[in-house]
Amino acid sequence: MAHAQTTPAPSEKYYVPHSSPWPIVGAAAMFTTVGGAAMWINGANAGPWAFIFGLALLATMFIGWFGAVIRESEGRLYNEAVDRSFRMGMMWFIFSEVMFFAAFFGALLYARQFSVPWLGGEGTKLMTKILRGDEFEAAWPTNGPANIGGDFRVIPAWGLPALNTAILLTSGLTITIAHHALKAGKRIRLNVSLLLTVLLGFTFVYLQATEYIEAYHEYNLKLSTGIYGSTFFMLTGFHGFHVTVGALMLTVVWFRCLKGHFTPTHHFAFEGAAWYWHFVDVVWLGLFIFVYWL
Amino acid sequence: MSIIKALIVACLVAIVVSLGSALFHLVHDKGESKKMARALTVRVALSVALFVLLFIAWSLGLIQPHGIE
Repeated sequence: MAHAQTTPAPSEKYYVPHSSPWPIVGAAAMFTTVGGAAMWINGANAGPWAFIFGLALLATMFIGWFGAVIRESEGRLYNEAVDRSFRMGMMWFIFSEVMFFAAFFGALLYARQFSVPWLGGEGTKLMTKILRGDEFEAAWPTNGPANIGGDFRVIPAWGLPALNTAILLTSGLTITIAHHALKAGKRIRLNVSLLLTVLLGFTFVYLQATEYIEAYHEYNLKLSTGIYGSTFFMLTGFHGFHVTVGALMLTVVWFRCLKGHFTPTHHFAFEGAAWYWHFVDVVWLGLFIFVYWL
Repeated sequence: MSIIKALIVACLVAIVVSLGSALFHLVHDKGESKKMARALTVRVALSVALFVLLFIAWSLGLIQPHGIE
């Protein structure tokens, strides 16, 4: 029959999953989380509770949904078409992440290279400075002519920031060792290197938290400390959040490795999480260079 | 821009290129080749080199971190 000839073989078709409750649970979780945050900001008593409940629901959705995907993958229900769609999804996710950080790095660049020099009277903005009549000299770091947030100091580059850079670089090294070990089928080396990567990741987050406490109490450097404080905390804060997410992903991948998941040619979850880890490492390098040095 | 700063930026660009190359192989090679792992190895090696370069440039007095006295 002509119909039979045009129908692809089962192995080439997409795997169509059974109906799943997770999309609607995810939508409800996001609605509750954001709604709770909005109520909280506006002083409603139920705000924090709704927010926490939303987050718990979100975590349940992630665990349930990803768990289903892992079981389907391990059940060999996925074929090449599904594999391709995962890889395309990863590419677009990364594209959005690059754009996200480009916006914050762009804000830092614009403030430093354009706004602050203009406030200092550079180029055609001399009249701005004369009319304002203050003594503001364009220099970086700054919290502007209004000295927003008061006098502050910056965190020395060779203190915690350099230590954190070394920690992330080492974790980049250990994840690469794990990657090669997985490819070579050396499971013990894979498990040990991946565990080290996860531990180094959480150590980074811990040290970053202590750095924030120090910045607030010792240096008077806050989110509200003018343009320097806001760009510093927005960039390093969102980066720290990404490291936390990356470390959580690697933790799940590590448990999967312990259970014997992944083969030398079939390990997309590992590849995705590993690449993401390299990405947050490179973002930190950019931060370390542009925030502390250049 | 001084030569050392240009060198640091060039190093960062090379790191981003190697990371981009790894993403390309992640999307196209489907886990079969070792090209992605190799590109990421280059990325890590360049990053360590950049960190060392920064330390050497600083200890030679060629570059100073930001600071408010």
